Amino acid sequence: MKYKRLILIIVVFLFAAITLSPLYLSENKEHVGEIWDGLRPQHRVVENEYIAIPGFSDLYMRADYNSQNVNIYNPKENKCSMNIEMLLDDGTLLWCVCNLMPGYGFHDINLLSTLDRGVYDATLRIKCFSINTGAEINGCSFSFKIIAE
Amino acid sequence: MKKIIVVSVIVLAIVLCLCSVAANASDMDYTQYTSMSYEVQGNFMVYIPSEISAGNPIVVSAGEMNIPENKAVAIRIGGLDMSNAIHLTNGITSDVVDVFFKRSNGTRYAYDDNLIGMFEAGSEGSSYEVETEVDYAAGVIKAGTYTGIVEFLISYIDK
Repeated sequence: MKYKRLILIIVVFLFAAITLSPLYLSENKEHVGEIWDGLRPQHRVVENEYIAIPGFSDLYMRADYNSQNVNIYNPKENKCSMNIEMLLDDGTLLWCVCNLMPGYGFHDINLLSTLDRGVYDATLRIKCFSINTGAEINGCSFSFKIIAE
Repeated sequence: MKKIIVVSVIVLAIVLCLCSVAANASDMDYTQYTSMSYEVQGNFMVYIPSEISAGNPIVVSAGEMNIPENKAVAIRIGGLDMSNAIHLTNGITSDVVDVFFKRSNGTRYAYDDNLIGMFEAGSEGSSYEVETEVDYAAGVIKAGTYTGIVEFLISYIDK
């Protein structure tokens, strides 16, 4: 009889401890997380791919000739095609090519207009397109000098 | 007779003068130096990211840098507008996501302060990292993929 009472007391005590402990703990628990102040941008980590852009120093050209020697190419390591325009800084289009695939290039080009003797500020505008999707990807403009002599 | 001698002396003197001039000209031909020159065109390779996952850093690096010591290749971010951002669109709505580019010290690149870095002769393998920061009205603009193009400006310049 004595034991039964003792067991009952222990059971009641344990029951009370189990049911009341979460309340007690929650009152004293520190907040986790942070005060929610609304949606924030979530970033998706993507492995970058790169485009190799070949450049050159000042470009020497023959004055009064359309035919010129150059080294313009799309490195074979690229995974994009290139549209390339050669422009003078006044906007004159000297030469252009579309869909230049990796591993292809030009040693000889024909300018759309000849150049008088002199030094010209010029730009090679390169637009790149993914070979897989055809979508335009990042590109560049390369500024250099043409020396026509 | 005297006249003949005088004339002969004068003619002889003239002939000797001419000969000496010719001899000098001949000597000049043999001693003249000629100079030769050949311009080896510089060339270089720069690597730019093909796509940018906005919010993640990008890296621009140098490959071959066969350029003269007094020259450099400067890399800039083009296409920044007056708010110093590039705008990404979804092609469907007028919603816009702004992308800013930041240096490691936290300052943003601006449309008139857009130099990422310069590669010099012998700087093969060196690179510059640029942080990107996204700004948009979260919860307001439509969910989806927003895209845009970054144009890097490369110039071959005097140091």
